[in-house]
Amino acid sequence: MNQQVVVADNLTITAPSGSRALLENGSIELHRGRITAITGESGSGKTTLMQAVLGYLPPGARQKSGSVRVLGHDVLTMPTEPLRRLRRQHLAFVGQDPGSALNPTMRVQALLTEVAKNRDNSDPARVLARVQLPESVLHRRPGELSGGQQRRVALARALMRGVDVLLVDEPFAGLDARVRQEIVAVLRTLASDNDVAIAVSGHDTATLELLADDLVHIGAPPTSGSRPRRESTPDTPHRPVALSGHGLGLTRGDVPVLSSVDIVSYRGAATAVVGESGAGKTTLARILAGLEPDATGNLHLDGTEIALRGSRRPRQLRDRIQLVPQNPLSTLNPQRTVAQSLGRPLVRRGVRARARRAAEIGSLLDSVGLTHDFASRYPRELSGGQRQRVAIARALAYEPEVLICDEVTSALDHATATSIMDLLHTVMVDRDSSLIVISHDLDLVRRYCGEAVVLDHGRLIDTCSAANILASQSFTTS
Amino acid sequence: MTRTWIRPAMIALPAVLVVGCAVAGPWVAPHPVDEGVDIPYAEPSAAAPLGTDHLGQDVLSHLLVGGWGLLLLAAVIAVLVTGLAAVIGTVAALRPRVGAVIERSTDALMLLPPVLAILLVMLSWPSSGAAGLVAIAVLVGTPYCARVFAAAASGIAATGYVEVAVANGEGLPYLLLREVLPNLRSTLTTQLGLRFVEAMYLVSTAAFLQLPATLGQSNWALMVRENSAGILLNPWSVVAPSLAIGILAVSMNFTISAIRSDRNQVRT
Repeated sequence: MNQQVVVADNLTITAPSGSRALLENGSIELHRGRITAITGESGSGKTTLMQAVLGYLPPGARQKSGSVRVLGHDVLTMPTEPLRRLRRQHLAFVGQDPGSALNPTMRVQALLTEVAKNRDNSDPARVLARVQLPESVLHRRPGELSGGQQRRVALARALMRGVDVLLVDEPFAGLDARVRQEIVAVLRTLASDNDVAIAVSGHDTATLELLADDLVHIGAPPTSGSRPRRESTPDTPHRPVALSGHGLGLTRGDVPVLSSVDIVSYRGAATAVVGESGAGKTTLARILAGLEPDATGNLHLDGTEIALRGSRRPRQLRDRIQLVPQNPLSTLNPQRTVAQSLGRPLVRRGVRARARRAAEIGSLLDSVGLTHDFASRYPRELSGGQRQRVAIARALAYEPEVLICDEVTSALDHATATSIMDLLHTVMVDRDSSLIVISHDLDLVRRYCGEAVVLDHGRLIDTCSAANILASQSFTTS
Repeated sequence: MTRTWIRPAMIALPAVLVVGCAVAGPWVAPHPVDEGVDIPYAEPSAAAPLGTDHLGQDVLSHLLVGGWGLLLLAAVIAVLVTGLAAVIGTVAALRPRVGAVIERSTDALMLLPPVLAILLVMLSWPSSGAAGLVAIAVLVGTPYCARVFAAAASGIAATGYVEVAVANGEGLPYLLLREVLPNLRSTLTTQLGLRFVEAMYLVSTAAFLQLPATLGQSNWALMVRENSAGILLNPWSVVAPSLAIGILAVSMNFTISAIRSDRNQVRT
């Protein structure tokens, strides 16, 4: 039954601006009942390849050479109507940011029945159970779900349709280890029981190797050197406290999103915030950044109490606490170039001379591992990982004392994630600043963070040394 | 590249023609508007290509002279309403508490029928003239428009880049002009087109009712009203100005949507 359903042969796709290739010599074969993993650095064209299989090219992009055939059709030259029928009946794509693909006005129930072939025989609740979501989710809207839950709903939508080819872009980004294993199990059953050809892209090579029958690498060959060094865990209690929050809470409507959480971050050390998706990690980050005017509790920076509401904080104080938001798609203003996005904090810090600003932008780009020609690009010309790097550079431009990183590495490949964490670590040590890392990646947390705050359903479960984080029972078993 | 502008240019042609005629009209009109050329409601002839009106004056000359007043007033109103509404709507999205206040007060304003408001002000305060008309049109038009902008801006206000800017204490003008409004370009152009049509309608109504707004000696709306008695004798005296108003309103929106859709075409 090893029937080929998708064959891409040496496909090269170029960007509208000219010679820059979005994808170079991408080749892939998908077989029924097999899972193929597509790996590669961020920006190497994994998403572009998947979109090409759907017969979609980004606006203005051109197919320079090579071909894609799906079930015998050349999708890139197909007329619109047959292509639409092919997509409807045989293809499913779950994007990198499923949150933006789900209609925010529809309940999950409607989102699922909408795509069902046969309304009675595929029960939405049963499909939800297959992606490990409780039935209560049916009556919620996408905006009320966490990032991980949205991804599972998007996957459930693909399951409802009973397709031949399933393309999943970065299914593991931003999910914790347990959910990852569940998704792996779901995809495996789908491939073997329903005889679906599945392509999965990602950076997390360990999980991908476990999951995939075939591995395809896109772009430059992987660099096997530079094993991430293990940072010595700093003994936090001897360091001065940078930011501390006590009894932090937030109630939205009548639902407590976060209740009495304590967090302490030390100078020259990193504090981790971990927990399953939906545990309130992002809410905590927003409270610290002053974005939740209704939050309760108290917050101290360097021993002086500061206002919870951002608008009550003086400007110098705001500069000292910087947030890097989660979603790479909306972290940068689409209408502004990288240089404009990075230039603004510099202007606010008083760097007005054009030449000096350009030099500083250059060194900021260097520090996040991007070349200087990125300065003139717009966010739409960057990959998810590259956008996240620019967002980090923008935060670093303020020379913050406390840097809050909300899942910044979840969209990056392992090597890049390590280099970004190394960079954040170096900045932290050099400037004796503090770092708050929100992450699902316990491995990363253990390597870089001193202390960890464990959240579950908006409550503080445990504050422990990051090295002992697995010992925290409630997190692993709940 | 050359291909991309041809289609929008074709669609924009009627609007450009009508606007061109209205602006250049006063200089190219064959007769002064107060000169009688024939008997009232004469059929088209060499001296009057579209015939004459109720005073025996040339319809074509009236048509050419009577456009720019309406057009100018409507354009001023459209720009003011859209600009003001964009600012108010975006502020409402960025500052939810201020937004709630704005919403309640706009609800109250929305209950006021525009024609009634114009009648009321123009009749009780005739000296206000064109400025009064603009003020009323802006006052009654802005609330609707602001609601649309508030809805469009609320999505932008929740994005990461706006949150970072807010967390860094960027001022309201910066958030408005640099972060949110540039991403609302399509809403802005659509609203501008809609508001232009709405303003045309209001200004024409005021002119038709002969309210004391200074729209020059002659205008399209007035032509329709005054010549309607002779529509059977010289239909052009009514049809021509009506067509001019209609073509302008419809083609203006086509133009705007053509410019917009050209920019983000996606193959589906």
